[in-house]
Amino acid sequence: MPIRSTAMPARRTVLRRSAAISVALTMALTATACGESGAGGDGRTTITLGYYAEAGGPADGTMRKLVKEFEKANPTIRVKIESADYDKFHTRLRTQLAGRKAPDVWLSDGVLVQEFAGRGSLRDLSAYAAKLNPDDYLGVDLIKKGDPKGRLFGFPQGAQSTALFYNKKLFAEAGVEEPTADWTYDDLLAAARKLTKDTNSDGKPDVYGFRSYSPSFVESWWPMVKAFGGEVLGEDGKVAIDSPQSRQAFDWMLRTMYEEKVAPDPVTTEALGKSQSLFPSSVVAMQFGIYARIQTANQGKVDFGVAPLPKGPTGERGDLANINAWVINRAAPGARADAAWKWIEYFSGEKPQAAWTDIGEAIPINTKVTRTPAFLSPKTPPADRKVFLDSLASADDLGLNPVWSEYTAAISEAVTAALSKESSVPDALKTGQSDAQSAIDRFRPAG
Amino acid sequence: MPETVLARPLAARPRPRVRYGRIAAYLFVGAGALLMVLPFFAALFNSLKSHAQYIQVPPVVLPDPPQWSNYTEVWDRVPFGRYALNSLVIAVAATVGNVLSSAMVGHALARMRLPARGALLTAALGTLMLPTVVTIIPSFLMFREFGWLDTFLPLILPFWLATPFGIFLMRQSFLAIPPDFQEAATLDGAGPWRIFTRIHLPLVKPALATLSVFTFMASWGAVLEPTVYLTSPEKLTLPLGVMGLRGQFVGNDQLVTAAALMSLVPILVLFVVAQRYFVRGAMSAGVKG
Repeated sequence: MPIRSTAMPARRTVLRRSAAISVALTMALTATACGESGAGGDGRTTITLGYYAEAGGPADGTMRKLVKEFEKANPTIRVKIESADYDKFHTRLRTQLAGRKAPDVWLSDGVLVQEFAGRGSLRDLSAYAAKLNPDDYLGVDLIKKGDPKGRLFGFPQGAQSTALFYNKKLFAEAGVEEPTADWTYDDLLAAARKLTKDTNSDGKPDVYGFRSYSPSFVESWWPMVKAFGGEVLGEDGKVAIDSPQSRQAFDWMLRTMYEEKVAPDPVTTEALGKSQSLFPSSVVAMQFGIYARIQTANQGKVDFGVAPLPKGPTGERGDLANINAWVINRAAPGARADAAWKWIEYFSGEKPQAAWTDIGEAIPINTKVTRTPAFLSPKTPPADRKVFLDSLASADDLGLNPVWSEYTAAISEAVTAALSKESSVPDALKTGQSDAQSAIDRFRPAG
Repeated sequence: MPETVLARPLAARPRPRVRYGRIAAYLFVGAGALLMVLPFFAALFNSLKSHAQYIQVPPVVLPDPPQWSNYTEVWDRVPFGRYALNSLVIAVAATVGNVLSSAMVGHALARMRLPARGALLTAALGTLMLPTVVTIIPSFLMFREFGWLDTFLPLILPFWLATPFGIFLMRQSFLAIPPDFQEAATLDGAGPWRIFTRIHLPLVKPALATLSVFTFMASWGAVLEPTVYLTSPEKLTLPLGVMGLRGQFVGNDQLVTAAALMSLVPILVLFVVAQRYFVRGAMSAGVKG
C-alpha cells in the first residue's frame, strides 16, 4: 500500500504535465502557424505563383531564382510561391479552385489548360498578349487552337514535341545505320529486328529494338495513329479513333510486340520497370519521346541521338506538341492579374528563357533563345536539337478540350487492353470511341 | 525423486528429446521475419544506388559503390529537419486531442444516460463510411472561412473534436468495465467527472495506448490533408517533403527512397522510447487495484 500510494500521485503528475505540455504546444503552434500571408501595408501587390517541380531540383531552384530577380526588377510586386510535385500540385489546385483560393498565376500542363478554362477558372489573356509580337514566341497558336473561340487562356512557358530517340552505342554494335529524316515505319521495323538481341539465349530478348507501347500515349500510339492517317479527335470535336487507319496503326504495334517480338509488350514493360526507364537503361534501342526525355536519357548516361519521327503510309509523321502554359486565375482582381501578367512577360523574356533552357526540361518558347548555341549546341546529348523545333513547327495539338483527362483515359484504357491482347483491336476502338465521346458529351461548360 | 535422478549414471540418463516442433516453429518465424525485413533491405540498398543503377535491367541487388551522398543530397534539397519537426508537432497535438476527446465522448456514450445515445453513435459511425476525398472540399471551404488555410489548425483541431474510430474504440472499452465500479464510486460520493478520470480512464489504458498509436500513425503519414491545406514551404510535413522530391521527368527514385527511410527514423525512435509505456498500459488492463 505505501508503494502504491506514492506511485499514484507521481503517475497523475506525469499525466497532468503531459496534458499541460501538449495543450501548451498546440496553443504555441496555433499561434505560430496561424495567419495567411497577404498583401502588406507597404503598397506592394502580392501575387501567389503556383508551379510544379521536384523539391530542391534544378527546375525548382531556377524558378525561385527567377522569382527573386523578378521581384528585384519589379519592386512593387511581391511573389508568394506555392509549389509541389506534379501530382500533389494538381490535387491541391483542383481543391483550391473549388474553394476559390487558387494561386493568381500558375504553371499549367498544356493538356489541362482547357480543363480549367472550360470550368471558368481562367482569365482570357488575349488582350495582354496583343501587346506582344506573336512571332517572338512559339506555341501561342496551339494554345489558341484548344479553345473553340480561339481565345488565349494560357501563355507558353515551355514546349514539348516528339522525336525518335536512338541509342548510338546499340546501333553501332548491331551495325545498323542511324535513323534519318527519310525513315518510314518499315525502316523502323527493319532496324528494330537487327537491334533486338537475346544474349543469354533464354528465348527472351535482353535488348529490344523499339519501345512500341508506353502508358504515355503521346510517345506511343497517338503519333502512330496519326502517321497511319487516323485521328484521335476530329476537327468537329468528336472522337475519331475508331477508323481503319487506327486499326492499321494498332495492328502494326501488335506486330512489333507479339509477332516480330522486337518491342516489349505491356506486361513485359511493367516487369522491366517503368516504360520511361527502358531507354535510359538501354533495354530498348529506340523510343518515341518528348523533349523532356532528354533529361531521363542523360541520367542513364546513354549516348543517344534524335531523329524525326518516321513517316507512316500516308507520308505523315504524326508529330505532336504540348505547350505548357502560364495561366491567370479569373478570380484574381485587376491589380493582381496585371502583376501576374508581368511575371508571365518576364518569364517569356530572353534571360529567363535561357536559364530555363539550361535545365533541359523544355524547348524554349522565346524564338531568339531557340537560335542560341545554348539550345542548339548543348554540352549533353543529343547534339541535334533542331529536330524538336522542326517537329514543333509541324505538330498538331493533343486534341485539347475541357475533359481531356477523362476522354483520353477512356481511349487509353480500351487500347491498352487491346495491346495487352485482352480484347481485339476493333472492339477496343469501338469501346474507346464510345466511352470517350460519352465523357465529352457529359461536359457542360461553365457560365 | 531428485536424488534418484542425480544418482543415476550419466549413460543411463534419457537422451534429451529433439524438439522438432520447436525447431519448425523457429524456422517458420525466422522465415517470416526475413520476409518482413527484405523490403526494408531492398529499400536500403536502393537508397544507396545511383539513378543509373536504380533503373538497371536486370536489377542489381547491392549498390556498387554505395552512394551515401543520396542522403546528404536530400538534406541539401529540402529542409528535412523542419519537415520532421512539423510532422512531429502535428502528430503529437492530434494524438493528445483525439485521445482526450474520444475518451470523453466514448465514456458519455457508454456510461451516461443521454437522449438519442444510439442515434448519436450511429451518426458518428456513419461518418466512417465517408472517404476523406468526399469531404475535403467542404472542409476546405470551411477552413478558408475560418482563415485557417496554410496553418496547422486544420490538421490538429478536428482531432480535438473526437474521431468516429476513437469514439467507437473508447465506447467499447468503457462498456467492458463492470458497472459495479461505477455504482461503488457513486455510493462513495464520486461525481461523473471523478468516476471518468479516477475509475474508468485508468481501466482503459490499453485502448488509450491503441488509439494513441493509431492516431499518431494516421497523422504522421497523412498526405491528402497536408497537401491541400499547407502551401508555405516551411510548413510542409515529412510525407510531403519526401514525395516532393519526385520529378515529373527526372528520375529521383533513389533520393525519394533515401528520404522515405530517413522519415522512418523519428517514428522508430519514438516507439522505441515509448514502448515500455505502451506495454505497461497493456499489462495493466483489467488489473484490479
